[in-house]
Amino acid sequence: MARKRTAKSLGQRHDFHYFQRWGGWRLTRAVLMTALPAFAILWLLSYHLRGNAIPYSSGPLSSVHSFTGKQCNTCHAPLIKAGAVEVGFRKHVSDQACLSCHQAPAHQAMQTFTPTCASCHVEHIGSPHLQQTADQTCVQCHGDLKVKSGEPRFQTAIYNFDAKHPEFAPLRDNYRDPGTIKLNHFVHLRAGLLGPNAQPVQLVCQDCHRTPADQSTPWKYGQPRMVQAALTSESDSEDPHNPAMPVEPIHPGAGRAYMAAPTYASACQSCHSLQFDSHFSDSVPHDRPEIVHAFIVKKLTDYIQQHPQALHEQIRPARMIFGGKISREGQQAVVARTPAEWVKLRTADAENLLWHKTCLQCHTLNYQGETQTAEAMPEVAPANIKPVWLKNSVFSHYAHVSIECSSCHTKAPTSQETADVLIPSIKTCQSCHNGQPTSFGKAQNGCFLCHQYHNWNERSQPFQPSHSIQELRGANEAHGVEATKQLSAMFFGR
Amino acid sequence: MRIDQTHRKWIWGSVIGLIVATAVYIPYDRLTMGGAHGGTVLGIIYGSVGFAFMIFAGLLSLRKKKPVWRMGRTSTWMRGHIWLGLIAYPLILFHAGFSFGKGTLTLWMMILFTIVIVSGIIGAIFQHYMPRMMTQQVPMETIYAEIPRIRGQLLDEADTKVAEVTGVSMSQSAMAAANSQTGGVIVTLVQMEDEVRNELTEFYDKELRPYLEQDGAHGCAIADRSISAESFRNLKTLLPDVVHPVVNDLESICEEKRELDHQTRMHRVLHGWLFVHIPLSLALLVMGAIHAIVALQY
Repeated sequence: MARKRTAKSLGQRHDFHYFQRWGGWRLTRAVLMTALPAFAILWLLSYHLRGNAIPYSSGPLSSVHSFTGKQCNTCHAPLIKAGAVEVGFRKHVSDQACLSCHQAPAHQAMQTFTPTCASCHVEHIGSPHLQQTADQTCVQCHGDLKVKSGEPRFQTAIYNFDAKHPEFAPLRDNYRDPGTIKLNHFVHLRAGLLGPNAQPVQLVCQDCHRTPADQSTPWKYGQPRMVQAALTSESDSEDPHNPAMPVEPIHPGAGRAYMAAPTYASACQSCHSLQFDSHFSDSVPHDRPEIVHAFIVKKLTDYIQQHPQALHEQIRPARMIFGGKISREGQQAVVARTPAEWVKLRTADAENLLWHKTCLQCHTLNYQGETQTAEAMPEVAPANIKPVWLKNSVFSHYAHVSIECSSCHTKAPTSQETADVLIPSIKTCQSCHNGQPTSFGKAQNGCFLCHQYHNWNERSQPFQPSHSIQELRGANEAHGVEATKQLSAMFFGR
Repeated sequence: MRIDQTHRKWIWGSVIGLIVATAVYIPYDRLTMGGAHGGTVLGIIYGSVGFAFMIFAGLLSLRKKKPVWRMGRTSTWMRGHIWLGLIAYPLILFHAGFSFGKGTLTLWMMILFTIVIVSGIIGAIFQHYMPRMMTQQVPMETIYAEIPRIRGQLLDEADTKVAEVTGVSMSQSAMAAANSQTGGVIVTLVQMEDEVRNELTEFYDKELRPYLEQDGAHGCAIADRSISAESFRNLKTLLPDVVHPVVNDLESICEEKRELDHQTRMHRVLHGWLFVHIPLSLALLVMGAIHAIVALQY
């Protein structure tokens, strides 16, 4: 009889207890279902026994904190801790944890809200610097600025650098440069300007505007004799015209963030000599009138002692300098009778030249009292040169070193008034700083790039550190190694 | 399980749920400082819902193990497993702010989750198409776990058939079967010349029996249906007509073995992905629970 296959005949072949047996297929799956979760647990347990919480990290630490490595509890501390006893489940990073290592002066006395450290300085996002805070952290207050009392001093609704950020303060409300040094940028940048030794030169911005770091390097128009005369006096005392610049650590941009206020020694002396008498090629020191007076008297006294025949020289009633005429009304040509009188007459002549022509060319001189006498000593008005125009922000010329000065300071080449404010408009900055750095053709424009949240003038000194390096770098690493050995012995018998 | 009309409610529910989650996510991401991430309230909600769906999907295996429990039909659980498990992936991405895991644990969880989802999708596709293919290509489908046993039975049957016509026993079990049928005496049905008998026994020894013995083809020429047909045709030309019914039976046994092999292959494809899907799902659930506890702590 031919072989037949029916469902019934096939069904009779089966062992109906088959499901009670563990075949290879079922067994393999069961083993995997047990082994893989167990492996995951063991993997995490091995880290736990070593006191290492790295697997739970929500991302790599910033470069400045990376040295703490596995010491999560340095920052993630329980809310209540008394010795070895820790109470509380949550271990969020508290402000106290940050302040145990860092200073963080308050932002503004009038602020109504203080964010937590971690809300602005977001950790576990890798290498970006922690000070690169998101714009939203600033906008949460400055988007609708409120103060504890009174009216806010700043714009009340700023969303980012491109949205409702006001024009820079010195460019608003017809603000004028308070500087008193009479400077005509247009003239100084004109071709064929007479330079040192009456040679025509073409000045560029960097000839006068240099950073503190560059100012100490040789200057192409520098003349040793003049520099020596200028620096001798300026180094003796703090230059009232040149505010001290902050000392920066050594790096390529150190001392090159801001332009130093141009000084006579660094920018003017080669062309604008301070010669005071035809007997001398020396210049008077670029200093206060009292010092200048003492210098002139000493020079003339020494001279007359060495050259007594000069006593019989006639003092000229008028002096022609630079094609101009300095008037000395009522003064007659006189001949000194004594060396002291000679010195007095020559000093008056020199000071008359300086106070009424040479110094006045750049400085504003004030005299005490209503009437001005020949012997009256002027008072030089403070230069009021502003080395930093935007005090609520930071800027680095070094970061923009590849850009021509006039590209940003567009008004400088044509400016003829000292009072002209020549800093670039915000629109100039926005033309480049208009996006995230990852966007092609757009420079970063985060608030943090220019603004500091913490008022570092309020920094409390001295700061008392509260951690040892061993504590931060992992004092319990030894414990971790021991725990690993125990774990290894437990599972592998060695 | 076929994805058919019965899934319509689940599909629409999943799509609407995903649209709502996306609609909430977009403003949440834009308005949250530093963008969406797991530590925010909404981030935790996304994570909790996503993890709840993962747990529900994982409970399917428990539901299958307790078929008498009155907890809804297993088919309903399977539909929920497919669609809630699928929607859990975008929810977890929303939870993480579309970060693929910044830490070691979360990175591995995302890798596992991706593998689980991809393997699940592949499995769902297999489960949709292959049962019909199986029915068409293996009409005499049997219980997979019983295939080795049935293969043994086929071998015994073939041994007996050959012994009946040649008097040459191939195995102890065949001898026993023959004894039980003939009262202890091997009786050949036909008288054959030795040369002809040798042709049959040689074919059986060298071609058919090794094929029936082993799991799969493994170099057996007659595993190929056309070669097999040709071989049996040739064999019939060499053997007397009276033996042809036995040869036909052997060919039928060979065909059944071929179907068993095909069923084995299809079963491995149809269920092989579960070796990846289920163990990794369990590992993922364990790691997810640990992640939830630790993340809430830190």
